[in-house]
Amino acid sequence: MMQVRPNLDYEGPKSHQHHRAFVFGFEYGFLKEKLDQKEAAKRANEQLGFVFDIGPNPWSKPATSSFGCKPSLVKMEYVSPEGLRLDGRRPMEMRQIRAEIGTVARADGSAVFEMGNTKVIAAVYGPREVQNRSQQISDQALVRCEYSMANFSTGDRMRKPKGDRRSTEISLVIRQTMEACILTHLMPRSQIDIFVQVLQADGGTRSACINAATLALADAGIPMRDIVTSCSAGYLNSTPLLDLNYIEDSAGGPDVTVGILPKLDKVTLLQMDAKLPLDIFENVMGLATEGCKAVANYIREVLLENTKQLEYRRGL
Amino acid sequence: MGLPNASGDLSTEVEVDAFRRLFPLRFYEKHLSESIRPDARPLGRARDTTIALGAVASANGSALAKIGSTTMLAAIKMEVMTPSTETPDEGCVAIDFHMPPICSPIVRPGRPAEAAPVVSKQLSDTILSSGMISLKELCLVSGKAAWMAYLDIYCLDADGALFDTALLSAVAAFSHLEIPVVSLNDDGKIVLLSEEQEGMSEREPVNREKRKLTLCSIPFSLTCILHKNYILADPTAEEESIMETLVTIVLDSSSQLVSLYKPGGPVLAYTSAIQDCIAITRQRVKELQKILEEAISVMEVD
Repeated sequence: MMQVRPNLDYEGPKSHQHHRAFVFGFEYGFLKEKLDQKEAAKRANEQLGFVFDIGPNPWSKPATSSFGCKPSLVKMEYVSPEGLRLDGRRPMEMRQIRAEIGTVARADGSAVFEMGNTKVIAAVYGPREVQNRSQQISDQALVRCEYSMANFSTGDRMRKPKGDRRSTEISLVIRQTMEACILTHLMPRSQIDIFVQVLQADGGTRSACINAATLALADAGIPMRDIVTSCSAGYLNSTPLLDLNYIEDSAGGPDVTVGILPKLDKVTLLQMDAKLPLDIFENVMGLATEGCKAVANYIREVLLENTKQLEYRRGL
Repeated sequence: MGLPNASGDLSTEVEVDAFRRLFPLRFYEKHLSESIRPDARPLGRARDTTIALGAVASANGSALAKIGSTTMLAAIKMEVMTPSTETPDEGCVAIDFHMPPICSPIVRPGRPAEAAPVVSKQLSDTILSSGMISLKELCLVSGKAAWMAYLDIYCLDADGALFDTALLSAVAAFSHLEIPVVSLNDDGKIVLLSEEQEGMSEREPVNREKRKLTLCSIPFSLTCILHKNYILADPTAEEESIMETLVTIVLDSSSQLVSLYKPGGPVLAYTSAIQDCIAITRQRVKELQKILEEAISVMEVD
């Protein structure tokens, strides 16, 4: 099921239109192992343990910036000849990740997730009584999600942080991704609300939101098949890049976002912008998947640490 | 009473919880008669307060304030605009308060919180009328360009005393604010200069040093609840929902009264009760001043 439609709302500068290909809710295992994919994965694994700090402040954009021009007019170097990106990372390095659980005391579950400069807070309320009786489902839980960006999260102040098309689309994406992994049949006639608020946006907000939502659901004790982790990757200057930031994302190159269930090794979310030859696409998707697995390791550590703290407090 | 065993503890805990849910007012009155509250605070004490400046890197000034569990994130973004003809050398401040659904189980995406526009208006009135900011400082070129400061406050956790925490975070954000450096373009337009361009730009910046606003008479506030003869300072959300009479008092750093707000409520107060509230607020203002100064000095050390 492929849908192609032009994307008119974009968080980057409106310098170009690009098409988006959707492959939604698709499950397939990694059965075939092509040699170059394994190579890329091996290289990624070696370098992914090594996370790099963020570079110059991405929001201090000078007025006369070349980023507003069409890509064909200005040849922007996103990967220097030595192999360093704009913020000093190597192509297969992720940004620094940081997560915290239980930040909102009133919520049933909450988490803050940071990927480099992107900072997202997620809160989960549920399972609770369905607020709109007409939407009640008799044999499973109703999952709702709302994504909103703070006014100050992007470089220029946003006028309409909630009802615009991009926010609605991302809310839908997050809801369907999380719904696939929550065991909804265990909680019939109830409602689970996932609210995600972006406090700082520097590319990869979708992935950070999904990771934060996973942590918040785990904090709320909602039964899930597996954790869901997500990461993005792109292809600029003929190099696959892992975990794009805002500048690289708005460069006009392809942007692949992958969401996986790491233990079950299944893909629940796969989205891509722009055009990419199929063999390079497999490389880039493999890279993003490796990124997801690294995030999954980190999330598991955080959850383990949190459980130890809870046990300690209960005196066990 | 013998030694409590583990299972005995659990059942009494469950009973206490049930009593708290079923008869909240009686539960609180049992505590108030001993001059204490369920979270072990004496009646006149506020919860632990912390301020962290510079929480949001993408904004020109920001602060995260926490009173107990109530968390507010305030951020200021500056934009250049043309001032109005009546006030050609004054900038503008726009204050907005948001309560996203993460902050409380009562707020739903379709139904925004009742408290949000009320607190928003209160904040706007208090900050603009307290004289903390002189709008003339926000002027760039008289009659042509001035700063518009957008202050957005997001409530990340709503556990009572929303106005106090919001005001504290707004004040902290203004004290952290750094006005960006700008210069005049050839066509007479104002252009933002980033740090890298500063050295090599031929154009003279209009405001050379990254300026800070001078804040005089900073307002601080305290919300109290009146119930029969008791005055409870800094209520939690549970207390606010049970005992509905709130009094909010805003004093500035020289202990002058900026605003007094008692929006009705079942308890009618004598002026002596209001005087007591003002006395408690005066002490609280000194505490808050100290906390704010500490937060600012921590930032400057960095």
